[in-house]
Amino acid sequence: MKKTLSFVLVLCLTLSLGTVPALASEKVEITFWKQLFEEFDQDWTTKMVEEFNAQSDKIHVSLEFVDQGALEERMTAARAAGTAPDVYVVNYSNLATDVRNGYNLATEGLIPKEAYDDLYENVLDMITVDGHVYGYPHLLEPAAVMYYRKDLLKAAGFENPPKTWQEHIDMAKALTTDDVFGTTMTMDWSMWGWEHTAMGHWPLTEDWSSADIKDLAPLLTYIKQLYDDESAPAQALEHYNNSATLVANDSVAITFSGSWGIAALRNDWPEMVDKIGVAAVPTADGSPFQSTMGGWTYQIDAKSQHPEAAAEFITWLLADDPSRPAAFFEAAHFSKYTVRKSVDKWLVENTEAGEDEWLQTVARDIIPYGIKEPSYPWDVSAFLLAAMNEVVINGVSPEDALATAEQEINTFIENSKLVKPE
Amino acid sequence: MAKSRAAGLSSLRRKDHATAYLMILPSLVALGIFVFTPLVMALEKSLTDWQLYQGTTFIGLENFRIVLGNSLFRKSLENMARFVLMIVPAQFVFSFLFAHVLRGMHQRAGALIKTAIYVPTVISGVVASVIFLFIFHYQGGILNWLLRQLGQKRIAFLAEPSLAQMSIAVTSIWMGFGYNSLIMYAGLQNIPQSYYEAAEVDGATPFKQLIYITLPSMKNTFILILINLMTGTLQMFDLPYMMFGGAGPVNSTLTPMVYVYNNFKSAEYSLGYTIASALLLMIVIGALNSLVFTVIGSQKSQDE
Repeated sequence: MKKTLSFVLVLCLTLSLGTVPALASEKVEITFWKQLFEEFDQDWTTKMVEEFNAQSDKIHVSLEFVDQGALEERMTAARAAGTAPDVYVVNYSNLATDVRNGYNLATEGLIPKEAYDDLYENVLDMITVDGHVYGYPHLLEPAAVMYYRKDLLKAAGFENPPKTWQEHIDMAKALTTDDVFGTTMTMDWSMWGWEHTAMGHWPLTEDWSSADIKDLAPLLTYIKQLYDDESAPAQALEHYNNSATLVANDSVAITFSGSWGIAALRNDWPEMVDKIGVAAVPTADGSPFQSTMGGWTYQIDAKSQHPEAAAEFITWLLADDPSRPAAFFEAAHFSKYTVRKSVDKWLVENTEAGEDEWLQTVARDIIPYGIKEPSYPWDVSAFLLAAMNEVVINGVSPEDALATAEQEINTFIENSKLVKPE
Repeated sequence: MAKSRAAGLSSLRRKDHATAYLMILPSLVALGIFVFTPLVMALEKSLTDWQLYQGTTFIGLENFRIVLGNSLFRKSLENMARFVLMIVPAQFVFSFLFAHVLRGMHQRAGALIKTAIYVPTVISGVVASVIFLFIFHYQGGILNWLLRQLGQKRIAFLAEPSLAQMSIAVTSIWMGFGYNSLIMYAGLQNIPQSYYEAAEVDGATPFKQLIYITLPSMKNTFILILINLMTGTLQMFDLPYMMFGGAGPVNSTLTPMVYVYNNFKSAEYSLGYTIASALLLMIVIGALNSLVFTVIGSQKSQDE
């Protein structure tokens, strides 16, 4: 009797184990790696993936958040091991290099043409490499926005934020006290827009055969003046990505950060929002500043076993019903910008986006002049940043610092046999 | 009779040898799998433009030529030399002196101090970086607060290249001080007290005791600490990465490990290039450690 009972139990267990994988295997499993960005980004992504999985009877998306700083190394390791995810998110500036390494799948034919027709033209250009379109873009973020304290400016007798470098120098000096710095000037990757606006071109010649940075001297002189006046802290108070909060915590009167700072201010410093203004970055003569437009695009790995399923998920999430991506931008307090015309329309019709003062400023004064992030190797930027530091910290003249940087860049081009991709 | 005894000894020795080889076999197998095979593979990959998703081409020594010609890599080697000169002698001398203080302490106080100085050792580099970032902060850091209280100007500890390097050195010394002091202390405790008693009877001054007894007896401890310090400093990654995001002002905190890591995660260069730079770094570390062995020279305990 005992033997019979045991047999029946074992049989039931075996049968039940056999049926579970059978049910699960009916759905195609795709893996999706997403960087850990803001909390609202995680909430939106998680909710969307859950909704997708619930409504799809063919595909199951397995979502994994990866630390932002660790994603690149993890992707390299996963590609080497053949375990890269089907879908992942990449910065526009890294896309061309990834494509040339063969990492991405061209998605014409996988994602509907109408979806691409809905994109703003300059955004379509950001995901087009060597004539092919890769993945689908999610958002745009101007990398350089000026944040300022309206109350501090008013108390110092200034009605409007600075538009020119000279106004910025004068205002920062007047706003500096024992406890509050007039301004910040973080010298890191965010200087791309400053460099391009100051020179009207990137620091390399058109064909990337040599450095072209002679016109950068006025920018270096202007930055040095801010440091010499002690209006800008000699040491960065905060990482550039978090610098917007410096105007909220009374550290600085004028600061610069990406548009994502808007969300940080609205989420973490709601009581300070009325005291803070947003504007375009000052330029030498008050002409429009050309902020680089950062942002993220969803990509399909070239070795994905399920490219159709991956494309279906991306299309459902980003390129279909405008209310899905719109929910993200609303949660972001309009600190990030849509890449689709229909989503923009939906936001204006269904949210307060049309009346938001900060959004209007960014949309009117910054986005129209935005430029694509550069695709030359980081070493070039590193040499320019070193030149800026030499001027500001070591007191080297801008001309001498630029001459050294020019020599360094040209040696780098020659040594690495750098060639501009077609 | 003598012949059979010799044969017996020889057979015993052969057995001993066989046992010895058997005992080291697992280590040899592990070394083969985890060290030598990857090393050979790395050498092979470094001679190619290793592509993960595309065809790989043999390019000879081209990667090594590009790495050696890259001024950022050379700068990272220069920074590495500076860090070694700043950290190793200071850490060595401070630990040695503190170990002497420990040895002369009352047992209870000594135990308390030993525990206290060991605490930074168990703190990770990441946490230590955050602690020192707070200390060196320009506006709210305690050092600049003190300077302001004394009517002095703030100092940009993390923005001025030589101060940035010093900030890393101070953090590194703080982290390693406890461990190295305890190793030194253990080394000092190992020297037979009879040596000093005999020296005292002969009228040797404390300085002569230090030169003729302590230092020679500590040779092996010195080698251990120097090798550890040199290797740790040459491979430094966490402190510059956490405190400066890598390169620091005018690339002054860019270490070879950060350079290798940046290339590994970036798609701008092939992985063959990254491996070539890692191999060059390995050669530098190996050469410097060999130098330490040669200069100091290991020896067995003098008691034996």
